[in-house]
Amino acid sequence: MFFMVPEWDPELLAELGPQKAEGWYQGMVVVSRQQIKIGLWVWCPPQVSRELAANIMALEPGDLDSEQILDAFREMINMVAGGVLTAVDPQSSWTMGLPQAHLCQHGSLGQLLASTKEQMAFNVDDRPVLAGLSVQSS
Amino acid sequence: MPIRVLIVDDSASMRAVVKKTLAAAGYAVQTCLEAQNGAEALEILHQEPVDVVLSDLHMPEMDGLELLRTLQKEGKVPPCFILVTTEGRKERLKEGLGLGAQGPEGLDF
Repeated sequence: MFFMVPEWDPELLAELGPQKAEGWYQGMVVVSRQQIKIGLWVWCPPQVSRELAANIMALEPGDLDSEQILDAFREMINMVAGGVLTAVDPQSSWTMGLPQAHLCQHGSLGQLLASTKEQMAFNVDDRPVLAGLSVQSS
Repeated sequence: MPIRVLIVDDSASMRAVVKKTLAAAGYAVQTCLEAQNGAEALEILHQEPVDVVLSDLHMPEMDGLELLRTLQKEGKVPPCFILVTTEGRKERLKEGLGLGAQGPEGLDF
C-alpha cells in the first residue's frame, strides 16, 4: 500500500475551471440535520480515481473496471464523511446519506464546481483533485 | 478451527477487502458468505448459521444496526457479530455494543 497525499492548492481552481469534466469521477454524500442538508462533493481525474481504487482494494490499477472504481469512490467518500462526522458530531445528531458516484459525461469542471458553495482544490502528486460543499436549508 | 463467516457490505469492493484481510490474517475460513445489506444477511442467517458476522454500519434497505436489532429481537445474534466501519461516532457505536456487537472494528485508511 502507498499513500496519496493531497496538498491544498487554491490556484488550481482558476486553472482547471474551463477544462472538460468528461471522464472525471464524481462522488457525493449528503449529511443532514433537521432542515439543513450539507453535500460533500469530490471530483478526480480518471488516473487518480483508478489509483485510489487500486489502493483501497489492494489491486493493480490496470486490473480495475469502471464499476469497481465507482464502488471504491463511494467507499472513499463514505470514509471521508464518516471521519468528519466522527470528529465533529460524537452525539450522532447528523444523519449521513448513502454515497453516490458516477462518471462525468459532459460539461466543464467550472460548471460542476459552480453547483457548490465552497470549493477546494488539492494537488495529489501533481494531479488535481477537487472538492466542494453545498448547503441547502428548507 | 475452521469458521463460517458472513460479510455484509453494500460495496463489493469492501467485501473483497474484508475477505482478503481474513485470508491474510490466517483465519481458517470454511465458508465465506456475502450479503449486500442487512435484509439479505437476515435471509441468509435464517437458513445458515454462521460463527462470525462482519457487518458494515451504513447500508441501504437495512443497515448494520437494524440487522443487529432484528437479530436480537429474534434471539438469534450469532456468537460473534463485528461492526466494520470507518465511522466512530460514540452514540452509534454504543448502540451497536448494547445490541450485542463485539468490536466495533474501525477501518483506518
